[in-house]
Amino acid sequence: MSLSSSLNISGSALKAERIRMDVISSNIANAKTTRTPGGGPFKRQMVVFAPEASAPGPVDTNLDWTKLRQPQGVGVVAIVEDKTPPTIEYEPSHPDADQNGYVAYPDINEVAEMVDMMSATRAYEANVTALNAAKNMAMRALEIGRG
Amino acid sequence: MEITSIGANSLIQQGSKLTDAKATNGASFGDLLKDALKDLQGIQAEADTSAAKLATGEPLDIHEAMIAMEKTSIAFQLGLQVRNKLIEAHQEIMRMQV
Repeated sequence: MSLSSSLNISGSALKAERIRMDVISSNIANAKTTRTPGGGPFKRQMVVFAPEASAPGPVDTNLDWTKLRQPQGVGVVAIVEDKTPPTIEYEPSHPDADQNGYVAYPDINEVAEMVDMMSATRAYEANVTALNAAKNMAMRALEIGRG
Repeated sequence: MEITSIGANSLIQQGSKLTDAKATNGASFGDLLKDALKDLQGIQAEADTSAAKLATGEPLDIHEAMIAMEKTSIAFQLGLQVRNKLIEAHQEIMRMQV
C-alpha cells in the first residue's frame, strides 16, 4: 500500500464519522419536532456504513491483489429513517394535537443519542491516531541510513 | 610472463567517468532542489486555500486539508533526504585524492 492510499483509508473514516456526528446532532436538535414538510413528526435518522475502496491510490504491484483482499476505507451509503412509530402523548393545548388531543413526538431518546455521540467522537479520535501512526511509519522510513 | 605497461589511457578514462558522474549529480541535484521548493509551495498554497475557505464559510473538510498538507510535507521531507544523500556522495567524491 502506498502512503497516499494508507492516509486515504483513515481520511474516508474521518469523513464518515463526521457525517454520523452530523446525523446525531440533527436527531438531538429535532428531538421535539412535531411538524415536518412531509407531514407527521420528525423521524430519527441513522447512517449506514459500507466499505469502499480508498479513493485513487496506486496499488502495490508487488503483491498479487487477485488473491488478497485490498484494505478498504469506509463510506456512507445511506441515511435511513427509523421505522419505529412515534411516541404519542396527550397534550390538547399543543398546536399540532389531533382531534383527540394527542400529539405525536419523535421517538428519539436523548441518552441513546449521547452514547452514539461519544462513540462517534472516540471513533474519530481513533482514526486520527491511526492516521498519525501511518504517517510516523513513513517518517521513520526516511531515517534509514541516518547515524 | 608478460608485463603489461600501465596504460595511461585507462587512467584518464576512469577520471573522465568520475567527472561525468559529478556532472549528472549536479544536474539532478538542481532538479531535486526545484522539486523540493515546488513541494514547499504546494504546502503553502494548500494552507492558504484552507484558511480562505474557513474564513468565507465555504464547506471545508478540515481533515481533508490536513491530510493533503501532511502528504505534501512527507514528499518534501523525502526530497530533503535525497538531497542530503546526494550531497554526501558528492563530498565523498570530492574528498578523493587525485
